[in-house]
Amino acid sequence: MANKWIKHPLENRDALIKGWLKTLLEKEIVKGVVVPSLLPSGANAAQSLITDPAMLENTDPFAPVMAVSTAKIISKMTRLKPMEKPVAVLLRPCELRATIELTKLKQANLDNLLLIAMDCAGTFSVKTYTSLVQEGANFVEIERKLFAGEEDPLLRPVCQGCEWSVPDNCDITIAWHGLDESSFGLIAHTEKGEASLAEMEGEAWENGEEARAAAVEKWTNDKIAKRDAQFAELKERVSGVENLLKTYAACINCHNCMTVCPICFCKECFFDSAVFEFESDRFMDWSSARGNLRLPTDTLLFHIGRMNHMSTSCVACGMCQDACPNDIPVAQIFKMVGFNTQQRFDYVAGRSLDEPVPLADFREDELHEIGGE
Amino acid sequence: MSGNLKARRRVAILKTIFDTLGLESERVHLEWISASEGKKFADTVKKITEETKQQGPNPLAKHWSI
Ligand code: SF4
Ligand code: SF4
Repeated sequence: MANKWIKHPLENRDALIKGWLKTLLEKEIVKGVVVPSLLPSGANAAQSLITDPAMLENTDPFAPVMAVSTAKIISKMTRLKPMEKPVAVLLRPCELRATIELTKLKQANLDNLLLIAMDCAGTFSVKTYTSLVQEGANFVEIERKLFAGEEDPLLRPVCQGCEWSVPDNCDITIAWHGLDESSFGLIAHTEKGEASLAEMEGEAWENGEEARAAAVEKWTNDKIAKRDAQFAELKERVSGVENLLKTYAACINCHNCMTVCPICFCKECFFDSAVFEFESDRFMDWSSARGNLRLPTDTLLFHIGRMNHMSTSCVACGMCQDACPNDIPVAQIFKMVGFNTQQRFDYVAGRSLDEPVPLADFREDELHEIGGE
Repeated sequence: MSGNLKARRRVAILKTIFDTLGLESERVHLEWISASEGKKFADTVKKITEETKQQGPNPLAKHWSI
């Protein structure tokens, strides 16, 4: 198994990573690089596919924002046809986990992709990121504080309780955990990854594996405690008929949450299909039953239906919550529900390419308490 | 057979969602009844009807604003 551990001064991180990606393009080790670029207005950083090495200048690989999940982008680019030539993709852990789910769901293809993923301390919503840019925020300093364990109420709520700071299933990790605050690391996990790092010099990261394992364990335990506190608070706030109706009172059925979800890949959602088109009489009947009928109908049903269909693959990326115009804690609810539905099958979304998604799998010897037989 | 087993997973998921959201998962039922088991079908419907009566009206049904 390939395994290369090197480290560099943190202050050189942007330049080094850009330089490395540039070399990969120039030497034609890859034909393209998918990496966040700072848009010319400076108001947002969006994923972009770069083929001209000179364009790497404008990139911002560590911009703490996810405008669109990179998993969705990979799916768009590879679903009809896998990449023919190698392309490097920079991802955050939740984007990688969603990519793994989409690959298992046959909505993405990893052929020829060089997966480079970073340790992540969390991201800001686009809105917050834009205002931080305007204020001239020092993002490296913010990141340093976050990795030191400081809380930042501006961080997206799911990130605040995210236990998945470390990417798995990638060719290369850009590491933060396990080093002192003035360095960052590069770890190659695969032969492909190691080959791509061939030209990259760097100080050997001695005993990296142990130091990193300890740091990751501590970080993860802290975040699990935070997550459990979030679950407890959320459950109090949203569970039960009355609370649920209150939570979704502000829902305008725009389905943004579904549109931006990397896991919701159906071309047409069941809830937007002809099954949910009714003749006028039906509306009158429904209303007559109680004297009134909320319109459009089936607000809560849409959310429960979506949970039923995809919560077993929800990676808790938070995209749905960012997209909600009315600040409904959609992602936090999906994360809590998904945690429980996944646990039922001893499954973790995005953990491994080898575990089948729960809905495509079944066992004779399970779930006897549910009934049937 | 595999259809039944997959359906059982779906029901388990739905019950888990209901439990997480504080809804009554007892209202979700699963029984496997083959076309020849007329009596089992009748008994099951009866059992579910009785259980539902005991549970009382569905608290969601009284809301017009769901
Ligand atoms: S439901 Fe929300 S949190 Fe879960 S994968 Fe989809 S967008 Fe991400
Ligand atoms: S994005 Fe928000 S308002 Fe729109 S459907 Fe989803 S929960 Fe409702």
